[in-house]
Amino acid sequence: MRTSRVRGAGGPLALVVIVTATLTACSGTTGATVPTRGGATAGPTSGSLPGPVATIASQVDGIPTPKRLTTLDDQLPFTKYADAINSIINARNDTPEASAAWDNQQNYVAQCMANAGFKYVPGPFPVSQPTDFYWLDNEVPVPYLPISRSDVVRFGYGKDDVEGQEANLSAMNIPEANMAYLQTLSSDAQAEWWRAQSGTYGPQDPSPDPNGGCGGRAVALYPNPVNTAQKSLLAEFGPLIASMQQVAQSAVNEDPRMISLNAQWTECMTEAGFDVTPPSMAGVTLAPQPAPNNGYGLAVSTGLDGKTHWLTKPTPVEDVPIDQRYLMGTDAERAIALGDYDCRASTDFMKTYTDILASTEGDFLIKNMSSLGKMVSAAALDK
Amino acid sequence: MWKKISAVLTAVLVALGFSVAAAAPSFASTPTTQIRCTSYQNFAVGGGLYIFVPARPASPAYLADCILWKNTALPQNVATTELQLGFEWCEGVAITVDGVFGPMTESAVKDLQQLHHLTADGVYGNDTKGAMAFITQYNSCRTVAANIFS
Repeated sequence: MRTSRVRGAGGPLALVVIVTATLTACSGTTGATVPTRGGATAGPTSGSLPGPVATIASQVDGIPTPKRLTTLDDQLPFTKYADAINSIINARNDTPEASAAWDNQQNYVAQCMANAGFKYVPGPFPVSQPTDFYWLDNEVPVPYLPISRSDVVRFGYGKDDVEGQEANLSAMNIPEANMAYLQTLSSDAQAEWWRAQSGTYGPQDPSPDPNGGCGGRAVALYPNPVNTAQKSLLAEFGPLIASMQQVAQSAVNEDPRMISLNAQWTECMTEAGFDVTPPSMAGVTLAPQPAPNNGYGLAVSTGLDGKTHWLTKPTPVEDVPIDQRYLMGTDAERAIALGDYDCRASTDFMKTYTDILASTEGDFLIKNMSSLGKMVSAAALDK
Repeated sequence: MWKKISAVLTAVLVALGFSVAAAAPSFASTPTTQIRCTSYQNFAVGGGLYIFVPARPASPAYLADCILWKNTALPQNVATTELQLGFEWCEGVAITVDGVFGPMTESAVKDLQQLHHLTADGVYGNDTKGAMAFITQYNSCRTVAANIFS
């Protein structure tokens, strides 16, 4: 069992995901908890925003649920900076001073809005959501496959807990209380509400008078304390951290060796009878990614009828049939996963990919050793 | 006379799908395109991936033509959270993800707007949406043209 904090699970939610690793280790890799936004078990949440209503099962009908990330056994170079980076980007903002200022502001706004004839529900202190970059957790964005070919024959990529995922998606998009209240008002009353809350120019004013409206007056009366230490660390090392993110998430996929590896894997799949290249979608730019994601995408897009249903344009998810949104555990999906397994083996995909990633990260570290050293020292001092 | 011509021209432009910005903004005439984003819409972009795009309230329908602007006295808003996650994961901005559109978020919007030669007003709207990459449920990123959502 592995426990991992999830960043971004369910929009405003900070969750603890507990996924039982039921699949056996893959060559040089282990099954990873997927830091998905939709999947998770219930856990502590930030503030009092709604949490997930369903637990995503680790198995459905005896079939493991799929994982979009694979955890490596060998440590990647960037992981040694995880503590320093996490302490900088995840500095706690819920100090007693900040919380008190927030509560004062919210109570003031509620009273001020009541005086203007409106309802206003004070919101909970907005605790910041911790970030958990997978590239600091020794994970790579390649769909997980079991080590044993016979397990791939049986399970493929896995089977989604459709009910749990759908329930979580619904629960995540619950509007904040005041926004929900606004929807019950007429458009004129909504406009008046905004005028009372944020001043004369309200939502049309890009930079409203800070004293405008109940909100502006509240902030002026009870200013937010500034975490100068974190602000300074973010200002100094934010660009460095962003560069590391760019290397791990993007640059590696543009490396000529990676382009060649992806081409080999795609050619192998094509020869095996799987057209894994999705049609280009007008207006959508895809960031380059490890090619096995296209195998997974093909499996997801394969319906219960065994046919592929590629999308041709961005489509509201509710308009996409369930069987083309999730892995349903069909024969056709398992055949694609098996093709992926064989092609990863014949191209030595995982080892080659992780070697390229490790060397790319290593090159970055050599070039930025001094800055990284400063970051580690600064993060340690800030503790 | 000019008022009549202007009103007719405005009506024609609106009918043709153009948004008309009021010269002197007032709440009473807030155009529908200026509605604050309060939720998000999931758009499937292929391969079982969907992006989370700030959107209008769920009722009567999710529409992605909405705006977000600095307002630190409002409670956490899921639309702002999605915007912040897009910046954090897809635009490489070290930002606090708390669902409140504060100075840091405004600064991130302005920087993105400047990078894409847009009016750097710090207000997230249609043009900014078309310029930025959004996060998928598996933390990968997609850039989608703004007109896709309309």
